[in-house]
Amino acid sequence: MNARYLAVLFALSLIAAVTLSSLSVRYKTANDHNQSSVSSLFRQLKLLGASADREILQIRTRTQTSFDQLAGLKLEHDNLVSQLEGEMQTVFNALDSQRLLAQYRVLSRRSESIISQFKSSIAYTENSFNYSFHLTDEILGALEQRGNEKAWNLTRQLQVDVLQHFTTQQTIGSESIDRSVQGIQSLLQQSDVELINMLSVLNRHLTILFQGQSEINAALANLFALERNKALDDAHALYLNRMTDNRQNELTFLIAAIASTLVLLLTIALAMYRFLRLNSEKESLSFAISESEASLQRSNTELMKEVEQRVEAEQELKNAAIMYENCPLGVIICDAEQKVITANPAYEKITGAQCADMIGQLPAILSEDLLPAEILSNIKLAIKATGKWQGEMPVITARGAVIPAEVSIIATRKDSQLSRYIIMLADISERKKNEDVIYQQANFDALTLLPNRNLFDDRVAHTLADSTRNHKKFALLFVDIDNFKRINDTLGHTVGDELLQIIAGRLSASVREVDTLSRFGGDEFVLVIEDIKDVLQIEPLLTKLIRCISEPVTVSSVQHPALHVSGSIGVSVFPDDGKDLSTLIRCADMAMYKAKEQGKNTYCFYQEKMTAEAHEYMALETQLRSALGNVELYLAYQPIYTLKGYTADSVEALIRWRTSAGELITPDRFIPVAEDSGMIIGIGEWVLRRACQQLARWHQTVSPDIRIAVNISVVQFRDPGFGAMLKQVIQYTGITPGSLILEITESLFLDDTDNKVYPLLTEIRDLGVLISLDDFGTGYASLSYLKRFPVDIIKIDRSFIADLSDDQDDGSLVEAIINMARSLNMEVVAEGVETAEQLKWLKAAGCDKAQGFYCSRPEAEAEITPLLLSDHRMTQCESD
Amino acid sequence: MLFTNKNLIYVLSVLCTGVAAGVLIHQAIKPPTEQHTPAPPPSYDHLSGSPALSSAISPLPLTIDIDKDKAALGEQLFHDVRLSADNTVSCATCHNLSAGGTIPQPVATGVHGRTGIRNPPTVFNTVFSFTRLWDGRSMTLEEQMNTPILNIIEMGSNWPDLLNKLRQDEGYQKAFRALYGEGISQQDVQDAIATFERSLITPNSRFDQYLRGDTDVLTDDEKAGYQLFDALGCISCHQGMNIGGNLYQKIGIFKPYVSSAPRKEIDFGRFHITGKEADKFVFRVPSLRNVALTAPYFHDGSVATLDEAISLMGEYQLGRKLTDAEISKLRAFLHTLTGEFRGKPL
Repeated sequence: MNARYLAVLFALSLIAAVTLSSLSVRYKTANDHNQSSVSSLFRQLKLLGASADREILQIRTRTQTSFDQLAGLKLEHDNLVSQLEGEMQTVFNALDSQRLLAQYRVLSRRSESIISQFKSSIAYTENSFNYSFHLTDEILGALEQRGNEKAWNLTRQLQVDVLQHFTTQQTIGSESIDRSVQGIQSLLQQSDVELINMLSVLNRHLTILFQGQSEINAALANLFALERNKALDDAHALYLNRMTDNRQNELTFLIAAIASTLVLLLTIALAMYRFLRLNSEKESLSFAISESEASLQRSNTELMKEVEQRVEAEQELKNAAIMYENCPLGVIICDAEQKVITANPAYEKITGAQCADMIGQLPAILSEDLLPAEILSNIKLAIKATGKWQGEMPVITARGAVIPAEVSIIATRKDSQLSRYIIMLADISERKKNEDVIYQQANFDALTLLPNRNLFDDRVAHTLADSTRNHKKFALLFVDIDNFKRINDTLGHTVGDELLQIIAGRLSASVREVDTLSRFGGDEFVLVIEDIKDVLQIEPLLTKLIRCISEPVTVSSVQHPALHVSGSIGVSVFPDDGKDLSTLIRCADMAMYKAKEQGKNTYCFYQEKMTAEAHEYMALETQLRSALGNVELYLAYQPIYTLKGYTADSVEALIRWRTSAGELITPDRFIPVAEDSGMIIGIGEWVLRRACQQLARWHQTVSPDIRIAVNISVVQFRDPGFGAMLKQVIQYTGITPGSLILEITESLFLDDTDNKVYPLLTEIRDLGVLISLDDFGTGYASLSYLKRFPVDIIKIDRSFIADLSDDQDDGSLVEAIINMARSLNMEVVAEGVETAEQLKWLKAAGCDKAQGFYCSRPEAEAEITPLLLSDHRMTQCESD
Repeated sequence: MLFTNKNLIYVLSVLCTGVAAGVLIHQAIKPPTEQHTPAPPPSYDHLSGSPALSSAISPLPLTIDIDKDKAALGEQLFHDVRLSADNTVSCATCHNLSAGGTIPQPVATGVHGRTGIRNPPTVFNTVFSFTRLWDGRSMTLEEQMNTPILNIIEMGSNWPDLLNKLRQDEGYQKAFRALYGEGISQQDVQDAIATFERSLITPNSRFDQYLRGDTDVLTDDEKAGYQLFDALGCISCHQGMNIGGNLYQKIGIFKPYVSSAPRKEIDFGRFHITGKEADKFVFRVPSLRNVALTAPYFHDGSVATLDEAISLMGEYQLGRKLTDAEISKLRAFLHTLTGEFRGKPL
């Protein structure tokens, strides 16, 4: 062994060592990194952004007056971003992770500063608004004292104008306000310093008010122009790309690791080789000793040298042996006939076989009976060609268990003759198990064990390709459990989960093996029925599915009588309704909603017009969302007159929407959209708040007896925060509860499956608030409701009033309602009164009140206030 | 003989390879170690269930969930003068828990008798504020701590020295090992003190009781004060759970702000952080909780009494000279904001 040779060996080992340890670190981090949690963080960030936008709009529309929620979202946001960066740093270096998120960070810093500005502007605008109202009152008081009636009137008008500008955003323009202020100033005595000062402070506040409004609008425009979501999506895409690169690097790692292991093996082989060679040399030496003692003496020095070499070699061998004994890889060495010479402890541990039993035998792992012929022939070919083979194979342990193993076989040669086989194996069952678990998690829903969206997409892609090729049809079913959310909310998630499991079991029992059933999350299942001739063919199946869902469900997790649920199914057909998966799902989804509209517990096939309807619906929803931001909603008021003295004693607040383009959208178009999207909660609160504020003002300026009626949606009523919100509004605006009327519809009683309406209504009544039943007679009018629920006022639907003059039946029906209400001590209001005859008829029939175009149209506050002030008498009827 | 040149190289090469292979296999089979996760930020969940959700002011929660052992360790550190360069000043020197979490002087005296330039903000309820310090320069409590510890006129210390001193204390060594697992690190000290500071809440003020529905707890004067606070617009900025502390606002909307003390750089407020002209005189709106106890007022402590502070706010933000009657009502209301600390009135 010369020095150069050793140096090469040393260098090789060193390279192998360094590569192995550096790779091992990367291998570890790549393994620790959880890609799905990063994706989830990205998703959470987007959701958080949406919540913040909603919060900001609520602050803008003053349905939210505190900034705490917004500040909380900010903290949560920063925490998520640092979590995300932390996750990324486990795979990329710090600089790279920062670069990935740089664009997003810039945008979120910018939005942070805009939001700060926004909050500040909102605060001082609100401050000036509040105070200017207060100050105007003081100025009015001072003017009254001085008897300056002209200035008083102008100031009063100014107060109304400002109020209107600020509450309804009907732009009056700062110039007109300026003119008013100057007008008032010119009516004052120049020596009246106190009043002039007050007026100039007021003017300054109004200027601040206008400036604040435009600052707020600018801040919102700037904020919504920032493409934070796009930056997030870009970062996410970049991240996914990088991960793909990383995975390729992992492959390189595997190859490098194998190469390094080979170097290690070579080292062991060399050590053994030297040991054997020296052994044979020793034998020939002993022979020489027995031949001639004398020659031994002569070659004594030589012998000593040889012994020294042998000790040296043994030492080397000992080191190799230590490695061999302690190496965690299982190693066996076989001779040229493939008989086992030795096996290390790790090999014994992995396979459970004893080394002593194996020696002289063919190694069990290469047995032709156990190994697939394909692998065996591969091994033979590879050994012949390159002298080594490496790959995965099943290994049978001594106990008969089969474990997956990664195996390397290396043939070593001596004088160009095959001398040894070195076989190394690593038990990879743990890794395989993890891979299986990962596969299960990635492709199946944990609750129902059905394929998830991922696997579904994969399978349907095949179906799609196959059906396209062979001109076959298939149907896609979107199955949704009706009112599932309510079960979850009332009985808890455990019950909900079990219900889902049972339904999933029933669904999969109802379909063929070839059909793909998958859970999309929540209570949504999607089913693909392959190879159908025409649509009608699956109708029996649809009926069966509907029936299997609606069978009673007994849930074990709680003591509860059997649950009754129903399902709605939407169907789309390939290729008639769509040629790609997302279109088909969308169509089936729309059809499912149609099925729900048709009363649930049924199915519905997709029709083309549904798309147009959905588009219009979505456009309206988007428009409505921005309407909240632009404050395009305002209230109109319609007086309700008593038929005794023809005075307006109450007013109904009606929501109106004029888009920025000037289009009026009627409530019957946008309220359903607001209800479905949940926006009604915020809008409804805004309406109630605005109406009560207006009422408080009328109580001061017109009469303390005026009452206001506000429409409450069923969805609002079902919101758990409704009661608290109502109390808070009453407290905040300081109105007497008895002057507030909540208008509800009969459908509220119908939906009362969980008996929550009655206690809430009673609670509201206990506050002193009045309950009015709107559109009475149109729905499922049942007298039993009237007796059961606390109702103070009945409003007869306009359809009965319209038919009064020509329909005798309607006339007697209205009379009956009036009489019945009387006997129940309820007040009756006739809606939609349009002619003098109707009014006369109603008065004669003993109806208490009337509302309608004949009496007064719904008008903006500016028109209504004078009307109420003019002794609030119905002018048309004075002759009466 | 073993360590002849040849042998040595040979043995080394075999050993290196072996060690590397060992490392690889060890890493591959070792379960992933738990990562150190930072403490989650305070939860605002308790807000969502509150009936007063949309009202501008909401009551403080009665309790807060924190790690009691870490808070106890933090409390010890909070009162430890070894955190300062000359072992004379502790956190509690300027944030006296029995004096409203601050001190009754305009500015505090730090190491070597040097005096500060800003009025120390109270340490109570800071967990509910959205940023720290008058100009909002620190986002988190952990970050904020660096300011006084490293500032040469406050505690004048540095982390290596400070940690060295703490490490010599056997009691600390034991406590940190039990709670954080390893030796004493900067991160651990910050975490302990911040945890303690998060526990410093003063719930159940009389006004909170009023918000929770006990309407008889306030006198007519105090109620009138609240109404005035609302009507004058004070509530637009001093709002939320902390009655302030969740936005920045300019002081001097109505007339330019001039401190009664000589003009100093710190009067520019947030301008120091952002460098934007628009941020001159912009400060974090301070919380009004316990305000009756935290005199003197304003960022430089230049205003001695509550009446004076109320009057100045009227002038700067409303353009109005508040009458004595109004000031007295507002003062009565502000006094109802004093809460309880550890079950006893502050």
